[in-house]
Amino acid sequence: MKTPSIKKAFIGASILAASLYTSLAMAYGIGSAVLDSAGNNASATDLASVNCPDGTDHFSAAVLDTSSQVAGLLVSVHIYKDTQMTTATSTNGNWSDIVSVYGGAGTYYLSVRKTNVGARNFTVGWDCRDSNNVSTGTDLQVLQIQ
Amino acid sequence: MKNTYLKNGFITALILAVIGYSGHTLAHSAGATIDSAGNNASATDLAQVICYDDGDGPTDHLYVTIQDNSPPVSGLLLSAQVYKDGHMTNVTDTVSGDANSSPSAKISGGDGVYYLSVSKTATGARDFTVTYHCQTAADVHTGTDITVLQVQ
Repeated sequence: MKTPSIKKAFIGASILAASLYTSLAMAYGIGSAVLDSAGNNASATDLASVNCPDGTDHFSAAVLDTSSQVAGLLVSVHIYKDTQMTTATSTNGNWSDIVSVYGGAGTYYLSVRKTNVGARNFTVGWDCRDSNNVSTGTDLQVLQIQ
Repeated sequence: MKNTYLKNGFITALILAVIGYSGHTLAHSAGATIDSAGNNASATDLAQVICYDDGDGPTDHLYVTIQDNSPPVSGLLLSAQVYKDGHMTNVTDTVSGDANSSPSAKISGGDGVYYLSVSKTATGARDFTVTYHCQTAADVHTGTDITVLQVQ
């Protein structure tokens, strides 16, 4: 059973990380959480909406699986908006590729999920950007924590 | 680069799947190849599934399974995701190339538009079959339509 503290931790981390500069080098927002903390839900999915302001050309994200490697247990990030969706997966303890959806301003959906049962610690970075790859600001709302 | 032939093939498969409906024995399955060139780890196929009461009752949930028909490759796993109204779930076929599909995934969102996607964890072409049914609270099949939005 997910506790409110986990949700608060995720939100707190997201806010704190807004000013962090990481290996992702592009992150305006970054947050960490535990997915499937009980280790028994292969379908566990964390989901947030991100509102990108006027002037946004695309929304980018990447994910880092910070748990010990387990064969067949991989963490992926997904971006969805309107009729477009993309994904990237963290492998071998490295950040995933940075992936983008070119959907202009508006609401994007950002999710993190995995391929099997087992708790996974992860860090996700995200950024609304204009056509010159300059951050335009983000407003993230957590919708679902599992 | 995805060619039109593959896209048409996927859409044709979906249309045939709908035509395959016979009474209450459902054939809402579609097959396709994702990342046919084998060089796009981010390849994602995306569709809208419209659930409605066709006389068998209002929708309670969308039921989905995914089957990876390609031979196993370490680190290359195929998954399906379902999203509706602030809720999302997913399921992975953890054993590729066998005769079994993944466990089922469900989102209980009532009638309306669900988003169904298929993605994978690394580069490499994968042949897959995805099965989707709008169902009532009693798991009775009800109205199910699909519109393909993105094929990669």
